[in-house]
Amino acid sequence: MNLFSFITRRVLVTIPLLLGITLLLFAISRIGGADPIAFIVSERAANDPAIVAAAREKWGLDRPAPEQYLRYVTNLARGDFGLGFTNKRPVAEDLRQFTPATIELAVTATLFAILLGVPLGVIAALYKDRWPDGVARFISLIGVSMPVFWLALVGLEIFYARLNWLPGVGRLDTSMTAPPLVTGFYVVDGLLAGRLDIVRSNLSHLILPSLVLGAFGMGLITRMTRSSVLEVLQMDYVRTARAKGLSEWRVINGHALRNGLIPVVTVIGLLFGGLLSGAVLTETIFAWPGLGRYVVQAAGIRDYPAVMGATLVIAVMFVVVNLAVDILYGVLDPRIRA
Amino acid sequence: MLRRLLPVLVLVMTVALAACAGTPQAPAVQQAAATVQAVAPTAQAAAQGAATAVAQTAPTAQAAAQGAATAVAKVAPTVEAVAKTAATAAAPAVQAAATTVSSAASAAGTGKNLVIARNFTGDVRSLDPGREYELTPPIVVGGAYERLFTIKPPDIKTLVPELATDVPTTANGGISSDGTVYTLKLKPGVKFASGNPLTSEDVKFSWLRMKNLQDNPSALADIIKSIDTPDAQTVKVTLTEPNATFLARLVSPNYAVLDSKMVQSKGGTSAENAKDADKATDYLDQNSAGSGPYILKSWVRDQEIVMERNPNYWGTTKPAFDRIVIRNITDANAQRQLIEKGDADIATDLDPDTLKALANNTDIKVVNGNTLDTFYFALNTNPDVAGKELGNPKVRQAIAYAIDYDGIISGLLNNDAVRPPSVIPLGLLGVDEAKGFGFKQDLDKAKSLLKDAGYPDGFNMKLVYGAGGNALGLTTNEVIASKLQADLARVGIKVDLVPQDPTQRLADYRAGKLPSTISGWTPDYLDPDGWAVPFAVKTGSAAKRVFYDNPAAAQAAQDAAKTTDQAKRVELYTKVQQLMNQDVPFITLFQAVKPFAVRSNVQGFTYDPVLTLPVVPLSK
Repeated sequence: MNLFSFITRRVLVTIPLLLGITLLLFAISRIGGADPIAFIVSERAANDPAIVAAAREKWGLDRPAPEQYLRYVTNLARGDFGLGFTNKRPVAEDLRQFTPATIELAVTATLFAILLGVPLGVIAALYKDRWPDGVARFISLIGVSMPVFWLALVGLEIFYARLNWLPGVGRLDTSMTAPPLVTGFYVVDGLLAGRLDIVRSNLSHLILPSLVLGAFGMGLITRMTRSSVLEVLQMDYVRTARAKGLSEWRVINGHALRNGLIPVVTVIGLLFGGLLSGAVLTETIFAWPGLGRYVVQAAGIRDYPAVMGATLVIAVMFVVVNLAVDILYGVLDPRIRA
Repeated sequence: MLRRLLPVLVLVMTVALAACAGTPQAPAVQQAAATVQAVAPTAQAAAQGAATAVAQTAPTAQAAAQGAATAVAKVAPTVEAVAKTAATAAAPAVQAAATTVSSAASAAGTGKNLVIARNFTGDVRSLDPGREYELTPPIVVGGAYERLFTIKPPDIKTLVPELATDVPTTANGGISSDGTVYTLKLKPGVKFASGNPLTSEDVKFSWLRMKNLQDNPSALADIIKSIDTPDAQTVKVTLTEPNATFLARLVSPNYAVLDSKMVQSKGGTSAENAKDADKATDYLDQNSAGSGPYILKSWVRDQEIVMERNPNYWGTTKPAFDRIVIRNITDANAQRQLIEKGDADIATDLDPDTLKALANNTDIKVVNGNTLDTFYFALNTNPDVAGKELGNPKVRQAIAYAIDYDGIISGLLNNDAVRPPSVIPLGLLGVDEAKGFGFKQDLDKAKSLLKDAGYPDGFNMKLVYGAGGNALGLTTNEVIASKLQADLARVGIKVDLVPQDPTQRLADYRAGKLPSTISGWTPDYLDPDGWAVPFAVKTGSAAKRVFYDNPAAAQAAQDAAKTTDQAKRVELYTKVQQLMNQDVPFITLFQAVKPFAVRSNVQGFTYDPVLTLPVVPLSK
């Protein structure tokens, strides 16, 4: 199968998948029982039938459930995610604002995890059972076992409050205001607005949360890389490569690492997907207005349109990341393409 | 052999670590200052050196907070001096850099910015005064708009004119003798930020729009029948029936006066079909259309709200800040760090632990605000729902006597609370007079009441509460529910705790299905009526949830709303509270006191239960 039809087929498969997700979400939210009107109108206004009726009509809650669902899906096809119960604004606008913040954080966290994890893992494998291995394994143990909120609090206390090396919480310095919204990525929007100070502030604000969020992935990647490279080093083809008289650099880089990284790529793909949705604690402590915090907040107050919209976005991102991982497999191992 | 690979790996790791080491803040500026000063004597080299150093520094300087500003201010003159002496190609670059540095210094360090660290996740649904009904938006409305009347806390009973010339009374002819027509006179010469003059037409437009939007605040305007504008300075409001709470309602930020020309040009309308026809909310969420000293510049959801100085402010006291930023900081500990370092001037959501950490910091003062938020124990009076035991008033009285109120406030709430005698919070009309009717823990009395009621050995009851919810932000519902369980056990009442999904709990409570529950109430307007009617009148939004029906209490609450005679009102509200404490459909457990951390150089901080945090009197 060529790459194009492979991708097309994968994309087409996601459509019924996403429809299934909307149906499931819709069913769960309506079976729950509680009337969301309680969170749309205030305690006082709840006693005013006119206000309650107006709210029901506005959100279509006065219609039978199947009609509500059909309406939702039809609107969705037009890119309309509906109105949020809480802020009474289009959910699509919220997603446009919150998604870039999450992607920004997930990408940098994954980068940190890879940049630190892969070299650490390779070192650990090459120096198996000697002190560099011990150090690498200790670091990965901390990354895997320390809770993310603990790392976040301690990191802020040390690097911001005491040493002043890194900035505090938020996406920008407290006195700086957001650039005009174009992409939602402050690095890009800052550049577009010609505000290098914003770019710089945003990048420096990304360091600590990315390290904290990427710590678990870093530990995991270190361990995976270590065991995978150790395994590959035992292989016949590595022995053959050495026997051919290749330099050790080429043996490791061209033969061992390339094969050893295949399982690591799978882990990175899953990790990145997880970071897109699972950064709630980090986002909360670092005052990072991302999708994770948004969806948890919305779920707590039964904001169905917001929960459904955010879940769909996360599902789409997951699908895209998995697709990318599959393609990357093909690049790393030509046999898979066959 | 393997060792040959090591340098490469080490290099990769070093690059990664170097990336982590990141952007230095203030130290970089200081270093740059040192560099510039060191190279200054040799003109040409200095110019080039400074150009590079400053060009690198400038963005950081803008980014750096107050601490950096001093250092930057020191750099700027040196750089300018260097730039003048150097007649090279680098000179323009230096000058440009120097300008950037000076402007950064003035933006960050001259005290013209106010940063408020606040957790407003989910608390800003709109910044349209006709729609907002949460706790954070009034901070913005209070800065960007003005109302006819305001209050000067701690006195929250006396109205102070803001846009009005005086407070109308029956004596000065402002209120008609039957109490249904209010004549309000506006101050002359008031202008909106747009330059438009503020007239009675704007008042009429704003209030009718709020009423007809049919959103949360519209309930505050349900008593308005019609508004007339005999002249540009006079507003005549006719009410559906006599209602003494009308003036108190006008203090609410929802009664702010909007620039009708501006709002109409953005699609706003006050017509009866405003609920569908009005399109101005999108504009008002991002911009203000008021006459206040500040203007709303932008709102990024769950992230920041930015206000700027209104250059056309009509009043004599000019705004103290160029810019006010309300930043969403969810975590209490992060708020503490920001205020400790001076990156924030005010922190609004600190918990007991973070407050303890700030106790010895002389740069920060903690100011307590007396809120009107109450937390209460509701007992359903309907035997069909709650069982015959709770249906008996003597049993409900016994429960009220069994609770260890002081233990809740000192032991569980860190003393961040007080307790009113009944459902109406302390600070309002007629509450001090009712203090004698409040409950104190008296276990013997509770036991003897239970015996009189025929349950000497107690009974079983259910307490439903919102799981994971919090009690006015002071503690969790679980903690309060367990405390009540323990207290009631001491008189033989066995309480089954039933945690429930918060939305479900609220829906069931509103539907009158819960035998007992714990719940909070926040003020709608500063008149006892805002509590007396919902809690004491059978159809009131709280009373109907527990089937409370005492015609005498309801009558007193309704009569009190109709008379403008203050002494008579005090008497009637005292009666309402006395009757309610005999019937005990609700037991108020506490009223929250909210601590705010404020940098010592910030002046004019007061807590205001209507606006939460009035920004206009602030300066530094």
